[in-house]
Amino acid sequence: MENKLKQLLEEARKEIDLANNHKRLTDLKIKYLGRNGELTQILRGLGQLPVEQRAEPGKLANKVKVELEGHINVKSEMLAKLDVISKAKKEFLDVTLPGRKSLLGKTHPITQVAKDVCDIFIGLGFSIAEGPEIETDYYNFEALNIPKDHPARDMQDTFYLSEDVLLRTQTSPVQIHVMEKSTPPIRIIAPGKVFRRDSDITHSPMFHQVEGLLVDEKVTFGDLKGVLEFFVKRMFGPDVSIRFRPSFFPFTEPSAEVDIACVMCRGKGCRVCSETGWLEILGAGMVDPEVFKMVKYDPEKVSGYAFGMGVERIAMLKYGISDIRLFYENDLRFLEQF
Amino acid sequence: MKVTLNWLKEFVDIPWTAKELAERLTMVGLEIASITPLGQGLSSVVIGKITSIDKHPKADRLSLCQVDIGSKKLSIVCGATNIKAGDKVPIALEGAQLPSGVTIKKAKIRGVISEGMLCSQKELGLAEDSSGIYILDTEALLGTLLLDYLNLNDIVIEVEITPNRGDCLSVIGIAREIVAITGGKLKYPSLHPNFEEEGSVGEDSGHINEFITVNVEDSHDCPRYSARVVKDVSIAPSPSWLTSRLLSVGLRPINNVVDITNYILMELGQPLHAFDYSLIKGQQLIIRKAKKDEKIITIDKNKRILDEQMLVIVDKERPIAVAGVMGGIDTEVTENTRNILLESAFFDSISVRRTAKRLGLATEASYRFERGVDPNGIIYALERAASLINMVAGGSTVKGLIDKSYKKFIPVDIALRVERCNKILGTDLDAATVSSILTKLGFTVNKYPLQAFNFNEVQGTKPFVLKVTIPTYRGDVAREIDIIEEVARIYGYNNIKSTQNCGQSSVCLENFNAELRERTRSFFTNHGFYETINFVFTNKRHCDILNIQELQEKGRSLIYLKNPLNEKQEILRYNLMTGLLENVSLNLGKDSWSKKNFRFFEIGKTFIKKDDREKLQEEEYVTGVMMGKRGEDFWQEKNPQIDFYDVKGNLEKLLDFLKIKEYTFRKSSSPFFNKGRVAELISKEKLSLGLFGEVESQCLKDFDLEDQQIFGFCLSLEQLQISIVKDISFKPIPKFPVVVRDLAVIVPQDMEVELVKRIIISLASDLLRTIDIFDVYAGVPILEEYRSIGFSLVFQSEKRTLVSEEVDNICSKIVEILKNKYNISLREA
Repeated sequence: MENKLKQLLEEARKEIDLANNHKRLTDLKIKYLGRNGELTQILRGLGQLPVEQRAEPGKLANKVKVELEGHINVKSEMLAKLDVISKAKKEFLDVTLPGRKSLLGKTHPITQVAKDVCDIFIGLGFSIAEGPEIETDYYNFEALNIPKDHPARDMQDTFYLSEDVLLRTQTSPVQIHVMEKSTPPIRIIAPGKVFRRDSDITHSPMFHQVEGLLVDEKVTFGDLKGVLEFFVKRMFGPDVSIRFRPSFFPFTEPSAEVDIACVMCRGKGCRVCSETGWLEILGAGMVDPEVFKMVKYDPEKVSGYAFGMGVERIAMLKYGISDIRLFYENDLRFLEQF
Repeated sequence: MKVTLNWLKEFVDIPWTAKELAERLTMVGLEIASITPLGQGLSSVVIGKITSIDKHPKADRLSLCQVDIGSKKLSIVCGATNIKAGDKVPIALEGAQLPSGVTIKKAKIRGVISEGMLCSQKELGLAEDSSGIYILDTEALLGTLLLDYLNLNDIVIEVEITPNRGDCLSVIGIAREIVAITGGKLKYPSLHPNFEEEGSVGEDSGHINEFITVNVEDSHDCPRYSARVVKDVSIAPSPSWLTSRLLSVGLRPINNVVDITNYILMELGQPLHAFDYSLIKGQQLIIRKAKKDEKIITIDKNKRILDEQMLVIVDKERPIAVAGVMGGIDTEVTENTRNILLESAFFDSISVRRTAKRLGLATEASYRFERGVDPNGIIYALERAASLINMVAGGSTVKGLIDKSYKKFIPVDIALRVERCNKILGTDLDAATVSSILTKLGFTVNKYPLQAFNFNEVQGTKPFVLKVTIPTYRGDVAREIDIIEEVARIYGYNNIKSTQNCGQSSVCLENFNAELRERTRSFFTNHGFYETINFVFTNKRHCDILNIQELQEKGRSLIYLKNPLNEKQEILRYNLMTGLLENVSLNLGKDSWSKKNFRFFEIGKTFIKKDDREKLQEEEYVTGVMMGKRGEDFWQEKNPQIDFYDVKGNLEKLLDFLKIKEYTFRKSSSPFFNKGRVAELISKEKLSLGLFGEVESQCLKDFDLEDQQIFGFCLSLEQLQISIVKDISFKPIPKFPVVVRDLAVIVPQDMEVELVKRIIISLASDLLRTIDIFDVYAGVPILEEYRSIGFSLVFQSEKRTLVSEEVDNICSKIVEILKNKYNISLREA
């Protein structure tokens, strides 16, 4: 009996090793382990032995069975691996064919740039504020220290809806709305559309501005410089030079215009910067005491700074766009590029 | 404003080149727009004298001139006829490159050698048009460069003056700024050497009072008026130094007297006017408000109709000038003028501005009066003008001057707290530094005890303040903060240290609208939509889509601009759809080879007037359109065309993304969508969130899109915001398995699925977790006018594993009630 089993094991192993496909392996499994398989026959034969003699060969037979099963499994896995390899050899997947693309759109470049600007200030603890696009003369001009019959009104040509109602020419009225509704400390950034009666290659009757306002105790012009330098370096790169020069806005004093080294010529002087080497990108200043008085803040107790910039202007510099009208044509060949 | 470097140097020493000067001025707030050297291309043009003129031996129309240029004699062929022997003329020498582009070479002209060219003003770039050769004054020195002779060796600097700095609209004003930088001294040009104070140049007698009386009836709008009379002038073209100066700063020379008034305007910033004295009726001037519909023809030959708001100068009979704006043609100085009345006045800035605006007439004079001239500078300007007129036009200035002054123009004192200055600027300047800066600006500074100041409501922490006295030409400096700005300006913005201080900590406020916009943008771009931005202006044609009458019945109307740029932009948009259709139309026209799949959206405001509200309404919408195929073209399979359910599906996902739950849909109507193909989105709170559907055919036609099928939507951001579920609370993930049952029922064709679904939900127990539609079918073997709807019901308990029979029982109950109560039967398998 023992010899018979050993011999069977020997033979079966040889045959399994030689099997070169799944079919043959299955056949062998049936041949040895099947219902009428050889090992099954032997095991069945055990029944004829007297009970006390069955134990020893029984154990052996089971051992052989486990061993054979293991052997078949190993061989089966090996054959499977071989299959994959040979399949891969036959199949040709052209990885250079285009894929099935999901659809993707893009936000408008103006949205992108305005968001970039806002995000920098949000990182500094500023909050987004908003105001209406239809404004009254009071919010757009008078509360900002631009009285009627003042030559500063010539700086902005206005669209009127009635004597006293107009499309805002700047985002600065948001300053007034916010200050009327809250008390210092105030730290806001206000993006939005503005309107001026002007249309050519660099002026659009509708464009976008981002306005900033910070009011607190002990805010200085040095703080304004600091925050704008931080902004410029984040927006245009850490190496870009920046300068502040005196200017005039009715609602700030002292007022400044902020220039950066020309992005085209790096300050050498070119057509884009009119040979000056500098590009104007921002207007800013310390909030004028008259404006504080308009919103019933005490200019002796609080001080603050405000700044504003044109989103189109920044986008045009950033992307090298020379015609502002492209932003409003919405040609896909334009929109796709950003 | 334009000035020249040499002109400035008459007032102040400038230690810098033009470029350095431009840089310094820019950094104190006078931005330089351009620097242009004068007389470019004239470096090889000298003054020569024609010694003889002979006929050209071979050409009748040419002549051969012998010309002496001092160092040598030249032979030059010329075609002009306005020359004679003895004339002094500009000669372009060999090698000269004239502004006109001509290069001068020694050449044979019809066989005769010509060694240069006699030039006209046009060829020299000095005038736009000129006939014949430019004949110079007889005293011009032979061989001198024309540049030097004409004072063209100069550089024009164009300065942009902010509206607050009227004082800088003059050479002297800019010179004062240079003094503030250099700390140098301002030089005032002296008057004509023969000009005696209060006196006359010539021996003429008489006193101005015998010539004119002046009556100011409106001293508010004319607080100061001065005048002189100059007799026996000879009106003629101005000498070249004067014309070239005026031309270089952009003014057209007219005649010697008018040119001097313009010269003073540019030099001192004081507008002057010269009347022909003999044409003033009744030897009197009255300064008063115009009468309604009073008329005047101004010197630009336009008839002006005046009103009671406008200040005029009138003689005995009629208006002869619009005060501070422009003189009248009746009393204009012409070549026949012999005696003149010279006016130098101080008019109220608001009055001049209103008048100029009403007349639509902005002049150099009105521009300066609007921005404020120096009330104490008018006499000096008058005297200098009279003296210069005597110099260039002869005559004599009559003794005495008119000076009607109705106010004392005293320099104001302002208290400056040095500590306040430092607090605003973030600097650490001491009183001495501040005083030195202010002194350089021409302000007078004195230290004063704080208590002595009660005129400025000043609160100070230090016992001393600076009393700063502001000269009257600086009308813009009226408050302490104005002085602080002056200190900062001259100290240099770039010398103020930057600090990083964002103030006290405060909570960064959430802006829900900004967040909603951001999320909406993110959703649509991730679903293939491009964002567009359109003008808020629209036009009548695009509003025709709307039924205006219906709009009015609802108490709403469109908002018109009072002063649109053009009629295409005269109305504020009342929806975003038209803009988006325009975007599709434009892109469809471009690149015919490209794929015609478009998905666009825009977020923006719409505008409408509601009759019951005074305020014009702004409402923010997100609106979108889609057209073409469901996906990008792919080589393996073709994508189907999009339909109604593509828009709907996108919106359902959007709402999910925005955390808006339990919304419903219902049929609706709108002028923008085809009848029967439009639905309204309703929130849980029963608010209308917006509409979507197939864009109306006529509407498409208006945008040249008639063959297209376009789907669109418009949702109100305000309503979306209200509907967002703010607090989301977590529900445990179910532990027990689900049991799924499919149920196909046959319903009438026009019965909405939602209705059937709700019936089923009402019949099922609370074990029903979800109910989905997996199939809709009409056709054989289903009866006509019926359709089959397959529902997939998922049951689950939070507490236990459901038993199959339990679910089957629920389902049979549903089927039974559907049949008996609603006459809806199960579809036979």
